[in-house]
Amino acid sequence: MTGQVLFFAAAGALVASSLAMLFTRHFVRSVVLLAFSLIIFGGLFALLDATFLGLLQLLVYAGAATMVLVFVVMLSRPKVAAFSSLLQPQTGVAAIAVVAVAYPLIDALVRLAGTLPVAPQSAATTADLAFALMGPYAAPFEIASVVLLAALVGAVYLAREAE
Amino acid sequence: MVPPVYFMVLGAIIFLIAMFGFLTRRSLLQALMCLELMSAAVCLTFLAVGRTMPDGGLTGMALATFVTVIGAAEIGMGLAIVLLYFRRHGDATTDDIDLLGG
Amino acid sequence: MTPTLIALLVPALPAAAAVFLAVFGRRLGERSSLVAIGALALSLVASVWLLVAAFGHEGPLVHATFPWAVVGGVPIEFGLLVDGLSASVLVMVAAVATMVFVYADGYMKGDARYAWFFTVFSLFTACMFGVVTASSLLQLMLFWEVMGLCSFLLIGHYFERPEARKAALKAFITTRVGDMGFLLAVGLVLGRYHTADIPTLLERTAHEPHAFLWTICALLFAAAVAKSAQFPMYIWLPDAMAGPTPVSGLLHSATMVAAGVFLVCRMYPLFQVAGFLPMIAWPGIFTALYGAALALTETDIKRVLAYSTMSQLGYMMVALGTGGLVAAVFHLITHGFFKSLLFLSAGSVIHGAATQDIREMKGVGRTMPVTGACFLIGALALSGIPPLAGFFSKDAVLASLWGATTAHPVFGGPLLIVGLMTAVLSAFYMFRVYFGVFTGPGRTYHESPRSMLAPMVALAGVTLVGGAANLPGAAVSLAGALEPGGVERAVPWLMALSALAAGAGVYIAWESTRLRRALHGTGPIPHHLQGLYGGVFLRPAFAVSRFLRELNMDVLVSNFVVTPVVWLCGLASRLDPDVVYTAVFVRGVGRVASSLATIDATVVDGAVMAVGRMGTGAARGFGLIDTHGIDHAVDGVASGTLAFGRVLKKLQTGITANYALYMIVLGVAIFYVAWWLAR
Repeated sequence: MTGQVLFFAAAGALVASSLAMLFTRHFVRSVVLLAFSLIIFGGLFALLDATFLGLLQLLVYAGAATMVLVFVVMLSRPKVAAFSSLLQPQTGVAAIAVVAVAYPLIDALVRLAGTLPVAPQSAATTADLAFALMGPYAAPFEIASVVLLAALVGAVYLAREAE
Repeated sequence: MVPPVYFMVLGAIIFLIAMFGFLTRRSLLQALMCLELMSAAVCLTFLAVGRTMPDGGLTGMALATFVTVIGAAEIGMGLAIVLLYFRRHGDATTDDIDLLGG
Repeated sequence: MTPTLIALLVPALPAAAAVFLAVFGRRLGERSSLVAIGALALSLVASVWLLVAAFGHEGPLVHATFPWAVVGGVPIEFGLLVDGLSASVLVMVAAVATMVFVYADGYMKGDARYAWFFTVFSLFTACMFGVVTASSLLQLMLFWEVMGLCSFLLIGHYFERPEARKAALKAFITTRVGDMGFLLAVGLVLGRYHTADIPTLLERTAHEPHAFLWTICALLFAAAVAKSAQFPMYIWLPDAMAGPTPVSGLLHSATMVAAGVFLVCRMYPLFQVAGFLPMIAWPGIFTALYGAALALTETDIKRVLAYSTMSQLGYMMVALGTGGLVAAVFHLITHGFFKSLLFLSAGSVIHGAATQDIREMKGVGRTMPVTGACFLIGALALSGIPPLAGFFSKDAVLASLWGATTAHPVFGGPLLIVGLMTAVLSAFYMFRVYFGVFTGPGRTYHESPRSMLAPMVALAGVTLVGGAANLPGAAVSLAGALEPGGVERAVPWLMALSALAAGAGVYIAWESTRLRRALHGTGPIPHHLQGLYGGVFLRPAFAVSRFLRELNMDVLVSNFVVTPVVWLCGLASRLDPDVVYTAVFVRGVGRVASSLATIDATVVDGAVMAVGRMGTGAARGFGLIDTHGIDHAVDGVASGTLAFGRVLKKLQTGITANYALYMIVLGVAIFYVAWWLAR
């Protein structure tokens, strides 16, 4: 019961904040709203019994990524402009594309709704995840680490001060 | 308990909102932010689907982990590029980036 | 007034007019025509009376004989024989002759030998009536020969001109060759059957198909071939156009050339018993096609009509050859009217344009509307366009061919096919002349005087409604006149097919005229007429026609047919060995050699040239296919690719968001495919 209340509250807040993030004119506000959305995401992950991932989300995204984003925003100082100038000319087409994606998604979900069990089994724990990452998913884990390293080194290289 | 289907629906909604935002932003930074939101929604969907599987969500969690990691790498790289671009052009709008046009 | 007396009047009146004019003609001057026309008009009335009386009459209406002498046990008689056949032909001849005489009154005005012309003309008409009403073969032959003499005099009317003299002599001698056959046939008949009286003869030969009979038929047919200008004795007809136009309008449409066909009709039971009919059909259809082919590229308007006459007579012959007596007679009658109409109209045009070359006549129809309308009606009739008379008669001929096809497919099938081809060609050459001469812009011409126009209009009127004379299923019809109780039957799909063939010919002529005008700079070339269309149909047809005309059949026929016969006839006076030796070995060999040389020069070389021209024509055709078709296709592919590329280029904007959109759209598309497959 409480779970349901929490879920709907979180869901409502999430949708509201993501829409607000899109339609606000102040840049910094949209960054803050992004952070807020990501925090709620973390909570939602926790609701799904994926506590480790919720924490990961909070730490990595809501924490580090957002902070770096704020840094860059401050450095680049985008100006506040009219709403229409914030939009691309291809907005109409984009709307059609969104509808095109929405339709099969909703159709699949509606079909799926009847067939899925209502989470009867017990959730996996963090320990289980740890064993999985070191065991069957070891290879993707290593590769992901290498990719992360390469990306960060590359980012540092690209963003260094001009000599 | 909240049925995982609700999470999938929510994930789909957020994904669509973020996709719309990604396709219509003129500012590079805003596009990157929407991209973040998209990948978060995808994570949510993975977890929700995984929760319904017999292994109790383990596969979903693993996949979500990797998505998160790659997302972090991507935002790092992306921001570096934005900075470079900003240093060269003085603003971060994408209108003028059409040098690869035919 | 017994029928016999009335029948006697028909040839007697024009004969009397001829005699009268021979004596008093010079004093009467230009009023001679009145005497001649008056006599003819009375003959016409008498003929109509005879036809009405003969309709439905069992057996001949009149069969009166007058014994002349008895020679070696064989009675020589003269007399009159009038039945449905002769009555119908009489009416046609009388009507056409009356019209032509009125026309000639206007046409020959101012001629120095005006009275003499009408004298000979009247004599000729009397002889034609004599042929039609003759009761014995001998009598028929007599009138036949005098007709030949009159034809000689009439064709050579303008004897100051060398070509008229030569043409007259050529006509006379060529038909004379056939007359040899006639003479021999009469001799054989008299010898074997001891009578020349036609009905008696037909009775006596009805039951025994003697081998002799075949020879007699062959000889009679030879006479008909020469008189009716069938292949190969047609060479005199085109040159006979050197005579005055009224002569062509009467002799070479309705009367003299029809006499050959009439002879076969008169002796038809003989031909049937002897089994000679197939021998008539093949030369007939060949002549029909040959004449049409020759007319395709002819430029002298009267010569076109001459070849056309040859072709139409071929139709009559092939109808006779396949058992269609009624069809042949019907076509004979309608042909008499519309061919005469065409000749008179042509004469009117020549009168107004002062030339006989169709290339020099342009847009005549604008300023000579009556002449144009008359010519058009004649052309429509000849082409076989419904509902004119020519359509019904040509269809009757085709129906007879179809009858032969159902009975003997191998024999009849080619006849029908060639018959239809000839129909298309007939329409084509006729309308080639009509469109080329009468339509389009041109000079101003003076319309002919009323004395010439009135008979043309009268003939046109008859041509328009003449089909009613032999409608399928009608009780009062030509079929009924020829045999009591006879009714014409129709083959509906064949009627439709022949109308279609005629229409096709007219259409091709129209398109060909437009193409020719465009090529000579008076209009844009219709696109679909270039290249393949012209090369596949028009050019080969014209090439064949031109080749046939260059063949110079005159020399071949005169060297191989006419001269030997003439020489044979003169044998009696050349029995001196020296003369014989010189004639046979020296001159004879020389003549054979020159004939062979001519064959080589015209036939063999012509064939080689034709093959060569076919080759270049085919090469040109392929060249056109290559430049217009293939090159266009290749260019099309190239420009199509360029256009496609230009369209695709628009997608590469360089704008990142666009590329993001493309990625998402593609992903969505793949998703859709997977989703649809999973359903």
